[in-house]
Amino acid sequence: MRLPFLGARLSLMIGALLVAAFVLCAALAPWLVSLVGYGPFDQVAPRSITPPTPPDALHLLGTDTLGRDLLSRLISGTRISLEAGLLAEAIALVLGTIVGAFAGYFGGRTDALLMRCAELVFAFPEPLLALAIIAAVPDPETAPFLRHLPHPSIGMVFLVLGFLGWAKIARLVRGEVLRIRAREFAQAAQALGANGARVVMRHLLPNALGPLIVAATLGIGGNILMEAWLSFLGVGARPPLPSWGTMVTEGQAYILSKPWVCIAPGMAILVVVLGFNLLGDGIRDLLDPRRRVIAA
Amino acid sequence: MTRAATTPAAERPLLEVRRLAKHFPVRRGVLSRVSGWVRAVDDVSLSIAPGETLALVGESGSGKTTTGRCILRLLEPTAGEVRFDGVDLLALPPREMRRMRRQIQVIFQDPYSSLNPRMRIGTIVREPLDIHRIGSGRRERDEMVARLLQRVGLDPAMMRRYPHEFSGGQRQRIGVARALALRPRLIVADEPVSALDVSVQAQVINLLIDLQEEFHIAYLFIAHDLAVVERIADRVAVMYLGKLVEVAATAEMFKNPLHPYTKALLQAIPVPDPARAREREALRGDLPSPADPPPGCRFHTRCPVVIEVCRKVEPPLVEVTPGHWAACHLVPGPGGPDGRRG
Repeated sequence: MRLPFLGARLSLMIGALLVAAFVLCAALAPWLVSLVGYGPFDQVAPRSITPPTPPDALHLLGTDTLGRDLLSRLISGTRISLEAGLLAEAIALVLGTIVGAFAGYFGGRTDALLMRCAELVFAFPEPLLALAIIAAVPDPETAPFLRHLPHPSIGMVFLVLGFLGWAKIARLVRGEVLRIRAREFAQAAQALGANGARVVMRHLLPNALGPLIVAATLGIGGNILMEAWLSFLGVGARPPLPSWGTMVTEGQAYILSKPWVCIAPGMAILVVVLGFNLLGDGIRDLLDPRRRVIAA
Repeated sequence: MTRAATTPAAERPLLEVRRLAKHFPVRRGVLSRVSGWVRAVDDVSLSIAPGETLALVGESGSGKTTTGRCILRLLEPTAGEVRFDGVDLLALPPREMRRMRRQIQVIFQDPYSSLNPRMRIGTIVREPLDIHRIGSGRRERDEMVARLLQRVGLDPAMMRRYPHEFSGGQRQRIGVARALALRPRLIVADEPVSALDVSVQAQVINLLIDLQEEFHIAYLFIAHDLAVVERIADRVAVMYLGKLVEVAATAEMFKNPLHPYTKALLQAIPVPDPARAREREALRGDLPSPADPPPGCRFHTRCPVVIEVCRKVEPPLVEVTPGHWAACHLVPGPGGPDGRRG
């Protein structure tokens, strides 16, 4: 994802800018939607014309197949993307850090077992595995716990992505724990009488934070892409939720005659994922000028 | 050897190491089969009296650091016994061992990697107090930290700073303060000044000597260079390829070295007088691999006075004169001219 002509600082700045705009958009979504003037579920296209209608002064990005304002839906969609991306990464971080720290600190058989499990996850293409899991488990609208969420179908997406994402994080954390453990301050802590939990929590993990932040940033971008992809296939967010992936699906039939219906959410996905990747790459280069490759 | 070599007869030793060995497996191939063993430490016995400094000297790769780590139980020895104040450390369960660590502390060689870069100095020095719940509460511990920093010659106002803001010598002082916090009776100092400038070396050595007098601490002082050792050590043990080759009181060792390896090390000490030419028999070659040590005397491949028997028979460490031990066929021992007990 690295653009070769961009320097580290430039990629960091552009990435940070894009991500900041995206997060701000998600945070202020209700207010922005009220500025647009049309709700994401309102059929606002004039009755006299068959939607989708092209962009005009009233609807800056036009309307979709059901005559809903695309800009309003796009803005509302930021919340779904961010929610899925962040929560999935949070689950992956927690699980992956625990597994990785155990594997790296105890080594031996524990390590071998846990890492073989991680390799099992790596062995399958992530989108296919996610599809298979979603197909295999019960409907999220009636599933325990999930049905209490405001959007059960999205809950399912971030749970699945989170449970698939742990392997990458675990491998990274394991490597960092092995590396830092050999440093003298970790040995010193042990010599002082610190127990394993203290060594891991106070000495090993804080020093693994840099690479973890990079991996998490790249991971959020990946999750947003996966959410859009799953929604595009119809197993993620369910209509009428304005997920960007769902919006692309809805516009699919018109891609040649009325392309704006697809292009608007498609561009949004592209820009946001690019933003997270640039930001992740930028942080990595900032932390390590030698550009060590980590969990790409 | 029944009794640990080098115990000063009068005092009961604080630390007693008997026949310590640490072998690392060498793994090869996809199945990680063990194809051999690196005998990093092989049958080392030594002891340290309360308040005494024993220097452990040798080239890199001689096993001196591994010996120190085994005594601290940062590594589990392959064989042997480590007794501290009569207690067998290797038999202690983890919880008891952590309690025992109050009495045995460590100072590391590299002042840059021995302090956690993400912790403030105050937190680093307070950590041992936190772990062992010494003092009532944070405030009292912070006061103790301030006194410790002062004692090692640092401004207590620096407590809120991070390690990268300090020079190598200052960092080593922080490491000393951390080791001192628990009032240990033994400190394993693993080349504590090797990474420092010569002028700073002297300051840190002086600090260690002062602290020893004030708190009656025993040191196992690991070094690769005899010059540093002369000022601080009561006795010196010289290590070569995982084995002790000579042990003696410091003055005796410098005046009357017996083993050819010790002699070579002593000749390697620079003399601050360019006019004085010295006869110098530089050691040839490198340290042989400890995975495949030479048969017989391990030093015979580099020894300037090697004789036939050295290639076949390993010389035992014998007490040549009271308190002076050496492992060499050419050293006239009490038992016979070839140095072996008759």
